[in-house]
Amino acid sequence: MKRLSLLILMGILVSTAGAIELRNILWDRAFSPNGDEVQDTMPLSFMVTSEDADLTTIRALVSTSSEVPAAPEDWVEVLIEMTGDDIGRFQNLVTEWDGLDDGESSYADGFYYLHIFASTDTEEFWMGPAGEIEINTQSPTFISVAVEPQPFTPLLAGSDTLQQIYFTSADFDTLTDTATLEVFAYSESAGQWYLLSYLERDGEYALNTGEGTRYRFLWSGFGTLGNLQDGVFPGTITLEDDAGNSDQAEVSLDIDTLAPSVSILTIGGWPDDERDFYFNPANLPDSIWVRAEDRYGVDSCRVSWGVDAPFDTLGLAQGSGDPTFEDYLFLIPSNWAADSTYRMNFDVMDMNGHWLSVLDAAHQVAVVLDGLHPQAPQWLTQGGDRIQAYEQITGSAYEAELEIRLYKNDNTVAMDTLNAGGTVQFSFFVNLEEGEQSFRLEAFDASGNSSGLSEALNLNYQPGSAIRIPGRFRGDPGEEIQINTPENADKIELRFFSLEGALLRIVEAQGGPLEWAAEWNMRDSAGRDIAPGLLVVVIRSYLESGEILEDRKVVAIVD
Amino acid sequence: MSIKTRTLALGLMMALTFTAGADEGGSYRFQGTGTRDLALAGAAHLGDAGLEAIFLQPASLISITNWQVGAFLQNYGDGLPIQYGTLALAMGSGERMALDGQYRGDSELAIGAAFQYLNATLADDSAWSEWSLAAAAAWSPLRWFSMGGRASYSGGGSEDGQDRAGAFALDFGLRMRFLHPGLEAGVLMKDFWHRLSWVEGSDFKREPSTVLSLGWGGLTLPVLPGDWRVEGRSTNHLSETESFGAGLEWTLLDGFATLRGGFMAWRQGEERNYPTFGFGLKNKGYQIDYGFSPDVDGGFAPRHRISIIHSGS
Repeated sequence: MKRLSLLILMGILVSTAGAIELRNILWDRAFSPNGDEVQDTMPLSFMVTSEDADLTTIRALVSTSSEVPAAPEDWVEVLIEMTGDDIGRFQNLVTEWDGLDDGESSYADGFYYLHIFASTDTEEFWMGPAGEIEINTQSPTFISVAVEPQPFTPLLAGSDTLQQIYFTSADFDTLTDTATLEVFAYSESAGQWYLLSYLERDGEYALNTGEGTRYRFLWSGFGTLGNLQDGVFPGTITLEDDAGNSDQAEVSLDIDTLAPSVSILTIGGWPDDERDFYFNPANLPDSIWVRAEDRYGVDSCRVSWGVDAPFDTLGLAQGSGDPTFEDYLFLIPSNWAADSTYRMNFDVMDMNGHWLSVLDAAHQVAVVLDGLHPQAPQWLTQGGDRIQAYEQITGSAYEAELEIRLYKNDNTVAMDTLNAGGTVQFSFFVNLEEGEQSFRLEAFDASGNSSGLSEALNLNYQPGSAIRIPGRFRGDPGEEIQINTPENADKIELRFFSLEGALLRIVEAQGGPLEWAAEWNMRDSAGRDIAPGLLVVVIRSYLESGEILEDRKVVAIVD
Repeated sequence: MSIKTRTLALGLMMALTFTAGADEGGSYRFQGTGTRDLALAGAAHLGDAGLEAIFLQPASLISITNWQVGAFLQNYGDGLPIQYGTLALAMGSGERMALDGQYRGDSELAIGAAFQYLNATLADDSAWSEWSLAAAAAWSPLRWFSMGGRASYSGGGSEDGQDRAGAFALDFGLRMRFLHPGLEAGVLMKDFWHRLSWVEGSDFKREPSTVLSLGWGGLTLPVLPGDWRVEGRSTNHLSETESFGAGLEWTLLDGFATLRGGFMAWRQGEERNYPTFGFGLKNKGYQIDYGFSPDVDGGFAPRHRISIIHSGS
């Protein structure tokens, strides 16, 4: 609990006309000797000096009377008593008053007065006026708290821009007491509560209600980081006096700054972040389901056709039974044309009147009726003989969203999904079986239209010692040189020569010990492009037996 | 001729040496398939280059004092399926009187033309062929200085018609004598202008490269008979040497027989060095030459070139 103390510093010279002076007197004006370890005692310190003679008496006492000098019958307790010839001319004194009568129960709540007396053989001094002390063991108390408006909707047109948090108290002293409001929020990521906002009492507002005085806090709904909040946030109002006594009251602050969220329910369940829906006209559903969610409940949902059209269709609420969401049904007009795109802007309002279109963009989806067949994929890989089983076969297709299926001898063996516009290349890695086999492709667009089967890619895999090298290099994916050696080899080098005899590049094949493969990027060893036209490739196979085989091939760069 | 003029000419030749780089490899060009050129490791730009100047340094065409016609064949060993054949014709304006100390005279003007055909079988057994037409001219405004240019167009590609291209190239060369009538220097800017275009596809441009050559002919040795000639040549890309070669030519029996040898060093890409050899026989206006580069490092195939040239009288 925050300790609130009122320290009174009298850093001025307090003296009579004589030579005795009282300096730097410091004490708490109010304290609460109730044993709660908050301002249970009253600290006191001061300095006394005498210029002309030694001090003979110093006395600090508490009296029920403020009259100076204090009459002995009014004395409550003597805090300091010094007499004799050894006091000297200077004393810096520190003490405290526990406010307890005989060290047990506290004196009665009320006002008391601090008196300080000092004397020499020739002079007497009384501090004047006496210092006020208040013993107060009772905290300010709440009569009631209230929040208006609740919920608080600052973004709604015509609504209040500030939320008022009231408390009523009969003993709250605006001079000596303070009132604060702390608003908390829960961080899901951090897993703990944090201080969202700290408010102080509106000092210009105090209204006598008969049973007490009503005070208030004002909240704009913004957190300490300057962002507008949405949700229900717990708050704590703390009243504290200058004697260290306090009381708290809990409030709940409800602020609504969001419109409902909209999700599209359609065939197949919840679409994740999907805003376009493709349908074959023959499979178009007769309705679209929309779910709107808001913690205050959903009032209505409607849709506009196109950006500029007015909201012209109200959804049919289905009665979810859950106050936080509602499902709406929109009937699809029966006259929608095939091969067209219909844009629908969904807007929704919560029970507080927040429109999604006002606070944020309306939820837009496109319903695409696509009855056109996509183009059949094209093979980029050339058919023919193969000497190694592992093969990358490549094709191309044209359309934004396609599912490509690969058939081997009429059985589906692989699928891929393409999500790019224009002509897209794709590759499959297949393991060939010895002998002839046929591959075909089929593409399905997002509406489920089939391209039909592509032309066949016929591959004939015959393992054994051989070299397969493209006659013409184009830089196509999967373009590689394959070497099967007659026996195990340690290393295979491919040496690329110009026709004049310059050794442009040495590439080492990978794999082994019988089947090797190499890729070449049509650059020399310095990374420069090699000019188009003919080259000589010498394939050197270093067999484990020590024999070196050389094969010379002519190739062309046609890129 | 004044020293100042020769200094300016030499400075111009030096400036041409600092041109941009080369894109080696590939074909689609009028290929240097001179027989003497192969035997001398490419160091045959200067001296009595004759008809072979049409392959190398066009400024050396002025060494033709009447007319020459010749046929050149190149074949690779070890069964590499590439063959070159070239027919060339050149003529000069007539022999001028030799300079004092010059071992023979040359023409003031010379022109030449050649047709080249390349035939190859690619690794996938598909057929490939290219042809080139080249025309060259040389002019020697001063007895010690000549310049020449060559334009060539190459076309062709795969026999299936799928990959075909055409390329046009311009080369420019200078040649001069200095200090001694037998001492010559030359500079050739290959692919001074070049453009290759695929029939269906993109364009490609070779960067120019520079060939520097220095030769000394008409040398005699006190012990051995005949005339000697040496030449060195380097192909450069900025300050980087792509390749260099040096050749030695020994002419015996009053010009009837010539023995040739050279050393070739590639520094482009991977390093590679090998010797070259060749010989020539000349009689009554007919000249037969043979050149050879062996496969000494277990890599590239050996090359053979043979040519026959007839010189008019």
